[in-house]
Amino acid sequence: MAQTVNPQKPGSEKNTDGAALTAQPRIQDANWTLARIWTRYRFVIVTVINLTIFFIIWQLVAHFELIGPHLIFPTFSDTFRALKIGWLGGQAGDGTSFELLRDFVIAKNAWESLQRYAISMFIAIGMGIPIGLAMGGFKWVDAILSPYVWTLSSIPRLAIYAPLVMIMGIGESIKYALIILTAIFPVIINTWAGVKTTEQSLINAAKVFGAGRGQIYKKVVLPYTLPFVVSGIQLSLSRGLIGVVIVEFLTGASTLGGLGWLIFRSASAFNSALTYASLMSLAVFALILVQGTRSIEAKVAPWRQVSKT
Amino acid sequence: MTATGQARRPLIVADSMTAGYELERERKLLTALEDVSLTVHEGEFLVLVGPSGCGKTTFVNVIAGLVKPWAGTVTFNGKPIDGPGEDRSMVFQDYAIMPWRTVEQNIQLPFELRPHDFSKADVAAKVQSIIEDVGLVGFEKSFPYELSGGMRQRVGLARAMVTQPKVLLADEPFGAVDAMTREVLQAQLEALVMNAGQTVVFITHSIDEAIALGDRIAVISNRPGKVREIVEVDMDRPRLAEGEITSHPRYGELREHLWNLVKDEALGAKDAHREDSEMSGESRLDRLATSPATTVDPRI
Repeated sequence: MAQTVNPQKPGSEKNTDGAALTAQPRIQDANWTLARIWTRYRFVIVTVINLTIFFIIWQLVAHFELIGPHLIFPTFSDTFRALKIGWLGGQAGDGTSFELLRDFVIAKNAWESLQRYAISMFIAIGMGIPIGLAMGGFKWVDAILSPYVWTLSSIPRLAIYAPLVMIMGIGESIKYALIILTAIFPVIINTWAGVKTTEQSLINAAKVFGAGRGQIYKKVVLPYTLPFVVSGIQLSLSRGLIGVVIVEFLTGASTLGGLGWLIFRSASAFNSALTYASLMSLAVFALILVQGTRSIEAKVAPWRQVSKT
Repeated sequence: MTATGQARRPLIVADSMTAGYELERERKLLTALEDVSLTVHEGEFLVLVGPSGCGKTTFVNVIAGLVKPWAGTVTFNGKPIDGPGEDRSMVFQDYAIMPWRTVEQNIQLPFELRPHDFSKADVAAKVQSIIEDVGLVGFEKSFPYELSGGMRQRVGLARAMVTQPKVLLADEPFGAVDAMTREVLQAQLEALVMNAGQTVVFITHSIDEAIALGDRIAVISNRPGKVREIVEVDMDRPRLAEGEITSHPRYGELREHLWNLVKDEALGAKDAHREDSEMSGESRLDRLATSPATTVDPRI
């Protein structure tokens, strides 16, 4: 690590040239020791070993029914089979106990949830950002909206479900409403905070160099707020995922209720393999989502990444 | 720059001005400067020295148009100052350069904010030329977080000078820079200003910096600030281009005189830290982005 060359520092070029002529073997040596491979890939190695052990223990615990019968806690191999059938199809017609587990059942329900999720998130983010900007920027908008925003963002969203059902009934619209309500507040509050905390000295500088109100917004407040918005979106995405699962559980359906519905439905039918297969699908999706947005955050505002460390 | 201010045209005139700011959390108004009368002549380098918290920053903010005086008048070219103007630019203590803009883009900012007649190529040429002047060649595409403190302030200086403003205001610009970089920056500033014939109002804590740079040095007394004495620095320019300024025969006398003036004030500064923390703008969660920088309203 010591001889890593930083290309951004002009002064270091000379040193590297000089070192490269004389010290080549040493560099090669350092590159291929076991210790180096370990430091580089230890995270991957540890994760692989870790997960392998996890699945083995799972299999053993389930096989010997330490937690409960297979109806309650499936083996890893059964779960894997459910995953395969649920996503890729090709099931042998296995009658009664697996009535829920049909070809592509997870894929179909996941697609159902994904559509619902994507539309809701689109609306939540699309509304949340302007609301947050307006609240941060205009005192009177803040004064009017903040009691509602803070109240709604504080109470558990599940509690709103009852009055919402009275108003909207149990249909598709209430699902969107509840997901949006679950997801919108982190965007609003983060955007608001970004606007509010914009450094006064940056605003002063813009003023000195001639910025009017509009320009201060465009050239200072908005770029300053952008990383806040991104982390707000990140929070919202995971909140929205909770919303989707809860809403699908609450509203129910007879056939195609989404991934959340499938998890609860299969559990109540004691098809534990399908429950765990659906759960794992959800977990993988959530993981990809969170990691994806994290990398976006780093790209949008590299200066914040650096100042954090 | 060579003359000492004799028969020069007054450019900025503060006439029994009182100014301050609001301590929002405590709902109190704090008078930073009281009954200050001070004239800045055209083409002169005026340095304000005083203990921290004595209102120097407020004075410069008033000239910049960021703060309105509570009483008295401040005129620029005979007209009362009403907000910022293109003839006055500023270098900030905490650099205040935009972290999401590259060096180039930061320096170009004044051209984006005010209408002008220059073509794109002209602007690019001006930016490039000032980048050479302040020694930032090779860092045009760098972001501020990749630069050292000294480099960042070079960006701040370049941004302030790129439009060739009539007046350069500087609020302790080199306060956070290490001693060696500071000397280089001082010499660069002197050269830049001598070339362009700018009027400069420069704030510093450091007596040495004041003597190195100033044509005149105004010693500000402790809060509420008043002008205690104005000291002429009768030393030829350029002072910093070669040799040690400290070996100049006048240096020791001036330093001692100034130190005696400042000493009492510095020792008497009880809540000196107050203004610094209030004005730096850091961690001011409750301050509205859109509110005027001043948020000072004497009628409250």
